[in-house]
Amino acid sequence: MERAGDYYTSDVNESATVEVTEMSNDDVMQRLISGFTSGVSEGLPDIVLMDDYDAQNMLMSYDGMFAELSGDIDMSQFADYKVDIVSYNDGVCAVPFDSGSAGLYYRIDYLEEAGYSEEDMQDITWSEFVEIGKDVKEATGQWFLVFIPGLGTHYMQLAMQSAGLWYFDENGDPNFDNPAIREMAEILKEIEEHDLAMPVDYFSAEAVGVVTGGEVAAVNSAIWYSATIRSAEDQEGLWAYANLPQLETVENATPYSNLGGASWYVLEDSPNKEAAIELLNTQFAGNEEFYQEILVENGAVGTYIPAQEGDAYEYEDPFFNNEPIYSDFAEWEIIFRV
Amino acid sequence: MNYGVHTTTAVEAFRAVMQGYLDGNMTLDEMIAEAEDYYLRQVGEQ
Repeated sequence: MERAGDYYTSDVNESATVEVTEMSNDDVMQRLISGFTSGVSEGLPDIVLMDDYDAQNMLMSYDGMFAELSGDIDMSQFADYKVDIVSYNDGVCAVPFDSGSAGLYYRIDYLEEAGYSEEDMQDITWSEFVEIGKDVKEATGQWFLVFIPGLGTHYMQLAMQSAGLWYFDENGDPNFDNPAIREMAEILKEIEEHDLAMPVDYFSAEAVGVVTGGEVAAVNSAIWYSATIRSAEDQEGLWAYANLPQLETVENATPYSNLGGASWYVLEDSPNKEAAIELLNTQFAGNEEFYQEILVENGAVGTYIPAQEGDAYEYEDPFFNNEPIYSDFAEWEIIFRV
Repeated sequence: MNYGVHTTTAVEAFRAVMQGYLDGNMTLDEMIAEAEDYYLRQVGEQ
């Protein structure tokens, strides 16, 4: 957003000032809910980035609090699935932003020490992944993963989405007893029983430090996590990636999935609503150069279709052994969506 | 995929009960049933 703000104030609206505040998604939710329920809008932002998982809950619970944007912004320029996520009551209430296309990141050196090549990491199953983890831990003494298995719902979500399943059925009723949850629960139990994961909350700053400090051998996450890994500059060339491990017992399971992703919302009562929409329209829905920049500098893979054909997508990243990480994850996402 | 209205509550439900399954204090069937009970209670209160 800082870069988008720079473009906006230099190219579109020189009199505007864009102030960016960074906070966790939970804190964003709390602040919005407090403001909406109290009726006190002071201190609320003009534009807010929200996780896609929260979209329908917030749009339904606080109907009318978010500006409907389809009259101002051409939503056909965005991936259909992202537009669906932020659509409510025949309107589109956010500008879709980043992709959560997911894969398996791993340390080449630790895997080699345990006897595994990069080829061995392609197209594996989740049970094979666990076996590799046991071998890596035994051979290297390193943790294989970092997260608390009992809080490992992100693994369940990766598994479910790889097979077109979710926590709910088409009627919105709970679909907890589904085969992806069943298989992944057993995988999480194996990870717990064999002590493969350093028990630190995956979403914490401490877990980021564990990964960048070289204390784990593998991470299953989305393309946005590549920026975290890449921040460990001393580990250039030591990381590679592959498609996700695949479920074995679930019909239609694939090695492709999604984790997270977010979109930009404008608050309906914002005193700067018009400028906020203009910023989103001119930058996030109109500036391909901006998307190329944040792709390489921040690992942010946008779902703005015109930007997905730029040179930056073909960038062969020296950090990841000169592999075209953005085009690979983008291609996996296309396969996943199809 | 539309994530629905109550994804956060579903996540909370599994996080509330999963450790019991991992520790061997409940079966997988029991864990899933407890997660659904937890979810329905929470959604009912919202």
